[in-house]
Formats: sequence, C-alpha cells, structure tokens
Amino acid sequence: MIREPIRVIFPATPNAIGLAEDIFEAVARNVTGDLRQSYRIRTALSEAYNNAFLYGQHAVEHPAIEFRMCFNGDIFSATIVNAGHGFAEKDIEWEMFPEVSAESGRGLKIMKKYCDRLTFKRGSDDKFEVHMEFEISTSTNKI
Amino acid sequence: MNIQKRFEGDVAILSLQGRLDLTNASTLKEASKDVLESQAKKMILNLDKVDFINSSGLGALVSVLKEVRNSHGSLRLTNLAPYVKEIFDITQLSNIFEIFPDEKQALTGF
Repeated sequence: MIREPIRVIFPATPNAIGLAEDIFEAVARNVTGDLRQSYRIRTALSEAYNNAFLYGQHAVEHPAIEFRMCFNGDIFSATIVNAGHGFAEKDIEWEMFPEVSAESGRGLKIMKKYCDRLTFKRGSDDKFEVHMEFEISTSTNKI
Repeated sequence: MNIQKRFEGDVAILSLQGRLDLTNASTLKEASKDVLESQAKKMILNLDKVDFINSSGLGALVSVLKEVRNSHGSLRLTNLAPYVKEIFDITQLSNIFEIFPDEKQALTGF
C-alpha cells in the first residue's frame, strides 16, 4: 500500500499531458479492481489536472503541476496543486453549471459526482489545491 | 486518437479510437471540419473504441455539434460505453445529442 505520500511534479506543458494521463490511468487501475470506480478515479484526476493546466499557470515563470497521492487500504486520496486561481469560487460554492451547449465548464460537475470527498484550498504560498478522496472497498483494492 | 472515416450513402461515419481529451480534441474538430467541407451534411460519430473521455473531450463533441448544425447538418453518436454514457448523463449532454446504440440504428431514417 502507498502508506507514504507519493509526489510527482509535472511541467505544465502540452507535452506532459499525455504522461500525466498515463499515470492517472495506471494509478486508478491499480488502486481498485472495480473497473467502474477505477474509471471514475481516473476521470476525476484528469479533470483536476486539466483545470490546473488550463487555468492555473499564468502567474509563474516556470509553471508546474504537482500531483500527490496516498492510499491506506480504505481511502485513496489525491491532491492536485497549481499556482493559479483554480476553480472559480462562485462555481465551487453554488455548483454553477454551464449552458448545456457550452464547450467548457463541466469538469467540476464531474469531479463532484465522482469523488467521495472533494475540497479546495488556497495555500499560504498562494497555491491552489484540489483534494480528492475515494473510498475503496477492501474486496476490490489491488495495492 | 485515431479516426477512421467512411461513407454509407450520404452519411459520413467517423470511428474514434483512443482517448478523447485535451490532447486530441483538436484532432476530432479537424476531422469533422474536413467532412463538412466535403459537403456531407449527415455525420455519425462511433465512440465504440473511445476508452476515455473527459470534459475537454465533451467540449470537442459540443463544438462539432455546433459546427454541424451551423452547416444545417445532423450529427448522431453511437456505441457509447457505459462509463462514457454516464458522463453524458452527469453533464446533461444526453439531452442535446442524438444517441443510438449502434450504427445500424443511427443510419435508420437518417
């Protein structure tokens, strides 16, 4: 089990997106044998990373996205950290939803549906953190 | 993402394979643009081999739908895996796309 947190830093470049997605897929597949939950975990991680990439990188010289994860056998937790503004506070508070024909804005809705716990935090260093937790059935966890 | 294109009569069928996410949303948009420029007005996107989709992929599909409608055409989706259909339901996109179980049913009456 991943008792100690694992930390990965991705450069916030288009070339790193594929690598991040590969890692999310592998992590989700290995945390649980439940394919449905595995897909949901992978999707939530991808949405958080997408948001960090698209909206979080404008204020720093060398933008990066940090991914932290830990699994204690019952709870898989993951955090995505970036230096930007993160999700808009009004969207988080009010669960705003885009016009059905809009081309963006659905990531938060998907994350709220797929995570057992989802929290947002602005750190003292002004970094924005998205923290996700997933309850993993002991009969299906694989790590 | 790999996209195979073929025609059944006047209907363009694009079979998508792989991830539909931020990295390849533009690939889908370009492929659909090519179809529309060939004057085809009816398009089917077969998602049978799409093994992952996120909100960026959904955004690309919405973009394609808008382009097709702006060209006075029609778009239908087929073969959504259960986990893909779930995301359509969560985001309420099931209400704006015409979704069919398979190509045969999508072609009927198109």
